[in-house]
Amino acid sequence: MSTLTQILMTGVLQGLIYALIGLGLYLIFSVMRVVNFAHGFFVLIGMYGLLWVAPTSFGAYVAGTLVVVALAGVFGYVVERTLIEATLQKPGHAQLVITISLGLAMQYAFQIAFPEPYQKIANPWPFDAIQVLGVTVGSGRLAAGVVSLVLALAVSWLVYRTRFGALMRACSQSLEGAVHVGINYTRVYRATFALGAAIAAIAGALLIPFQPVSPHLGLDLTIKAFIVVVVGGSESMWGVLSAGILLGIAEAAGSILVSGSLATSAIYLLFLAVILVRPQGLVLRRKVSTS
Amino acid sequence: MTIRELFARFDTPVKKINAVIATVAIVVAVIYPLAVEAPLVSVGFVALIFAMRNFTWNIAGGLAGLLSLAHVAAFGIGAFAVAILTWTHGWNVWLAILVGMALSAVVGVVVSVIMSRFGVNAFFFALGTLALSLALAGIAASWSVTGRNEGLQNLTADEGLLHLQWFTNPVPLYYVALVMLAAMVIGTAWMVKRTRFGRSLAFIREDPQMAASMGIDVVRNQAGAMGLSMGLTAVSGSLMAQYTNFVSYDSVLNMEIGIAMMVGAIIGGSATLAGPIVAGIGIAALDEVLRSFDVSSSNVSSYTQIMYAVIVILLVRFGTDGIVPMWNALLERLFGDGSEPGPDDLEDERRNETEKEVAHA
Amino acid sequence: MDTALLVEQFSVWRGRSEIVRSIDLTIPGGSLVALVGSNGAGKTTFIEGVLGILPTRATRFELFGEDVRGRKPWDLVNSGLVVVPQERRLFPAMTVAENLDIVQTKTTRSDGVTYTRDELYDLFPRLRERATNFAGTLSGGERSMLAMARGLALRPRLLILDEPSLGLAPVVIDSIMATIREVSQTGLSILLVEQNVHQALSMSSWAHVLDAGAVVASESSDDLRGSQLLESGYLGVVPAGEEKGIG
Repeated sequence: MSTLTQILMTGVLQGLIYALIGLGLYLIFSVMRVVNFAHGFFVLIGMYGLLWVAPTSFGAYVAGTLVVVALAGVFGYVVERTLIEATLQKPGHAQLVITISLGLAMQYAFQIAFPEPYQKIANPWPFDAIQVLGVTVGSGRLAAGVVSLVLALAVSWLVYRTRFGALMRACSQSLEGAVHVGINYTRVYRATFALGAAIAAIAGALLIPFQPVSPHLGLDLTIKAFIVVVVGGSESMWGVLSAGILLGIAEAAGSILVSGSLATSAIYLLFLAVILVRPQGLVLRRKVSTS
Repeated sequence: MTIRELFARFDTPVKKINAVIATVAIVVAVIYPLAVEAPLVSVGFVALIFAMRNFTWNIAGGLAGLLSLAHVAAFGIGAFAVAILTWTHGWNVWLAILVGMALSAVVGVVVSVIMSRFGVNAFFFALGTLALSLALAGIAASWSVTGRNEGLQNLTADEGLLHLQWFTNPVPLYYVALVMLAAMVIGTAWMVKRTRFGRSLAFIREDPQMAASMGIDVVRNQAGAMGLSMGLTAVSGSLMAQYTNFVSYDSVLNMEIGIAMMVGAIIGGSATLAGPIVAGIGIAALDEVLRSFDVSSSNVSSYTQIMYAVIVILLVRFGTDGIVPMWNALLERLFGDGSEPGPDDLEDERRNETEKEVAHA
Repeated sequence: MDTALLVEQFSVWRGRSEIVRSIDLTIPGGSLVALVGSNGAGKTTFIEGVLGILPTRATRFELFGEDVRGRKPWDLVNSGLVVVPQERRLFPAMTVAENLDIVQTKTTRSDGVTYTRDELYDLFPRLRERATNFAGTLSGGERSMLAMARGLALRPRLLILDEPSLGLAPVVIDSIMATIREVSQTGLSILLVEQNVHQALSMSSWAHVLDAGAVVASESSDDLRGSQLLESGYLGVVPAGEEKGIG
């Protein structure tokens, strides 16, 4: 019984972070129809950024997170402007190759900058592990899950209740329509990509207190973000949230039942099955004739 | 084909220059191991393996336009086939290579057919093949047959061509790789030029729907390309295993290998036959040069990887097609007759590539 | 009266082919001008070129006397050039009201026609009833109305309507055409693009005829109605009333 509670507790909390990462990917995909293979590496910006800051107090952690996330946003903006924008009019594999290569370059850049693998930061939260329903939950994990949920709600407020959100939804639903009502979609795109990168970096900052980081984690997180978006369906943000939680629980259950690498394999194979069952999860944009 | 006919084909300055370059390259490739020390022969062998796996990736990735990340699985299957069947169970190594090829080809065909069957688009194809490779790596990491984390060691004692093993001399293995690469290039060039299947690949790459309307069986031919491509990729995995005498999930099922094949082919020019080979050899040579500057630093490979990624990004960003097409364009500008290249010229260019490859053999 | 739109040697490309070839065209301010031509004559291509969606070349391209060559679509919209496209291009997962809200331009222009939300609903009463429905659930006629209302909400100085009657039932067409007349009476410059030539000519004061990417006639609508051009079937004109259900 306590094993089950343990699985559920760990799974849900971890899943909420996956949902947050997936949400950034989802926004970029649904607004711009860009499939960003580098997304997991944007999470690493948050993780390595905080590792570099190495905060010793809660205040330093929060301040460091804000700075790193802002920088990640700027990085996303620059990437969109210099690389992604040029591929929007090109055949699909151009984006694919560019974002994969970008992820690769980032992976090795982190490798050089942080040669010591599997590091994390000291618990920055002003509380220790607590007992919930007879299960001990680490403070980092608990805080990350809760903050992720709050941020996911904040993003949904942004998308459905603000002017910028309305512009994003307009571009997502009909780019031609957006053009006809005078929306400067290139600006919306840049802002969306920057937002997606920033959200990923926040997730990274939330992960680093309890998840040791290595450059290879980027690809892993990219795949998990895709799992979340594809399983959740590209139609709704709530789907993304529940898919994230599902993934977290599946992973927690898997890691208790079988060895770590097999559990990961099972998740990848599951993802393969999902791709086959719902290939409409991500729909390619028909060619848009905006020059 | 008489010599005269052969020469008649190189009727433009560009073709002549490329023919000369190809001839020189072949001669150098043949003489090279006799002219240098053993360590450099090993570098040459690695360069050939890079060229080979770029080339075989490109059959699916470049010629048929299937952006696959499953090829690292083929590389790994080839390596593990030798490691498990020959090293552990004492099979003949050539038989093991054939088994690896067959298994990889089957995986390629099955993946392609299933993806087509479910109407998977290019992004999902890349994602799905990536997931497959990662899943196989995870299985290899926890399966006793594949040596888990420790990997498998080659402890066999037989030497000679029959056992594809020479303990002190890297030269024979170099020539085996060279002959195999040559055979693959000749075969592919012939296929692209002379067979219906080979000619259909370009149409499938450009526009699958159009190809289907022309009566091409897109699903079948894509599966054929994936099967052939992955089957041949297994060979480079097997050869690499025989060279390193050690195989583990991390050394042969590492996603970076899969990405390196793609990156190499794109840098060289994925629409050409020569491009992936040129890039493979160039990358291996560059790796070696950089390593000679700073032997101790493990960061060298990181820097070079970043550089390749940046080159690919720039190539795609600025819409160029890779080294070999750029080279041909440069020659055309320097020595061409100044006319705009029309469809016929492009066709000529493609033929020229093919010709060059045939010569390369 | 000043000139709403003036183009000289205006060419538009779609992909590699030059669809609209070096045409001269003028729309006088405050009038309703028709642009007619058979299917494939290049009418929609011309409009997409004017809005800056497709690549163009021109010696002159002026909007109310201002050179607007090379402007981006959103700049043109903010300058008062509003296109109501043939495909409507609504936001299907937004409600009717949200579709109208999205256009609240921050522009400080005082010219152009200004419609409040209520005035738009008065113009198209059907939209008021369906204000909280998703645009994706609207009927063809309602979608056309919403597209037009959304266009008017953008405070246009020149409104270009691309086939507003396409695919609609005759009774709906009548209602929409009546609304266009009503809007036109406020002094708004309108370019009405129609396959339904009789309908368009009966409403407009002036008409341009486009064929194979070139302007083959520019004359007053009354003259054009009696001219040989129509008799010859050159425009792909079919007797009025049989045009419903296209597209």
